[in-house]
Amino acid sequence: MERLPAAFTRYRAIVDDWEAFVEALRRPLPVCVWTNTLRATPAQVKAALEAEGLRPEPLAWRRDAFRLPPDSQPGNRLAYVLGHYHVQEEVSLLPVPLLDPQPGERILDLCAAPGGKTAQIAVRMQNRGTVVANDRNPLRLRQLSGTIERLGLLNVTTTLHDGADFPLESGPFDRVLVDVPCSCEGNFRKDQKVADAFAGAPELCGQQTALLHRAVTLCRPGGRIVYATCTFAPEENELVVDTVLRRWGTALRLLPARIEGFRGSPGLTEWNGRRLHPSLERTLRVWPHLNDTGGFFVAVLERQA
Amino acid sequence: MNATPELQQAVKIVDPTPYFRYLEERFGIPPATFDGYVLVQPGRKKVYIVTADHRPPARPRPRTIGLPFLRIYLKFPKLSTAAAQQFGHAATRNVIDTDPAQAEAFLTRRDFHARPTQLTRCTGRGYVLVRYQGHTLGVGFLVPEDAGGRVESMLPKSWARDPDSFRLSVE
Repeated sequence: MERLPAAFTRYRAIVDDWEAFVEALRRPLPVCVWTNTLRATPAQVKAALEAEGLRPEPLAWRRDAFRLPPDSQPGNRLAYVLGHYHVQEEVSLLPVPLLDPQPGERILDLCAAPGGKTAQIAVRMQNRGTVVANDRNPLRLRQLSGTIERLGLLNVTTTLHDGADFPLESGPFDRVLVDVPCSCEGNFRKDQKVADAFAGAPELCGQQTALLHRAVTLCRPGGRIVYATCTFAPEENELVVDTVLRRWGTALRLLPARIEGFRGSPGLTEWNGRRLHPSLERTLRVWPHLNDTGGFFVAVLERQA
Repeated sequence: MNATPELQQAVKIVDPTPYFRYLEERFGIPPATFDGYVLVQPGRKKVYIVTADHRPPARPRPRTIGLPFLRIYLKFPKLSTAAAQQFGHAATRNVIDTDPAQAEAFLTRRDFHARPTQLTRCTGRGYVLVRYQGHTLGVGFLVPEDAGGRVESMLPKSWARDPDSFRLSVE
């Protein structure tokens, strides 16, 4: 097996069980699908997958989503073409329940392509209200449109724009998801090239900070912002949130990012000698060995004023 | 239900009457099927359908709003595959129920032959909705022949399954 990237060794001090972490990274990643409840019931999806010879296991924390063995190809099936389910990694199901969008609200997904999380938002809103799904990459935006069409989403507008410079007059939004471009270390089980990316590169962190700051600016007072990455790098996670928290002072606070039935670690409150806001403990770090998934980070913020 | 002021400001609102009339004539889809939705035209060639309470921004300019509904400026407007799957259940005419081999052909973008008994609800040459096990798969184009007819799959390439690996039943 391929060697673990040297870059990962710097996490030795912050992983609870290093051996289990390394071992999990060497296993292929299970496949995961979630039910488009606008079109089908979880029981129908389960039955359709079973009829295709697959063995879906409901997730411990979400009964409408199913885990499949790593080599499954659930995309090449009738029920997929009919939009009865979407294929998406388990950790990518974490941000939307934490965003908790409500029917009729106005929601912004600032870095939306290829659209799996946009779709989760639209479905949770019962196909009503407003989801604005933005991305700055036209090719990836086209993929997003494909997702909208296959799942039959009638409440999504797509826009092509730099998220960090998203026009202020488009707001305010009740909730904003900002699932930023990142070094993708948490995708290592799917794509081992990702670890070549330099985690925590200053330009990348600057861009992430600008995106989160813009997301907070576009959110109404009292509204919620969810920040997510698929990397382990604290520079792209806690440090970005810490910077934005300091900039907004009492106008912004962290809410607990916890999901019942899903195991995570609290966010870091210190890294490389930098002391962070103590409330960063409320963010969620997902290490691959905790739930046999990819790696992930989520912060839930509430704008106070 | 009327469009929100935000929707009116963001995009051209389309009078749905002629389109709904066409869909009722060709497919027997009652216009009430679309209650609670508004037709809009963000670009040139396509009319989209969106929930009436939608409030998009005017800037940045929306690329798409809701679901593609009809391709216009053709001899006959063509219902999109997405709209066919979403609203096709309401159709009563120009609907073809397929067997597994025909549905497999349709989903891999190949023509298939329809038997006369499958065309009893069809009114002639033109667009038809292709169904399998009660689900609308998409839009076909029916060309009547001496015995039955040829149905061309209008499924977009991006929706098509790979003919080498896609099967509708497990052996």
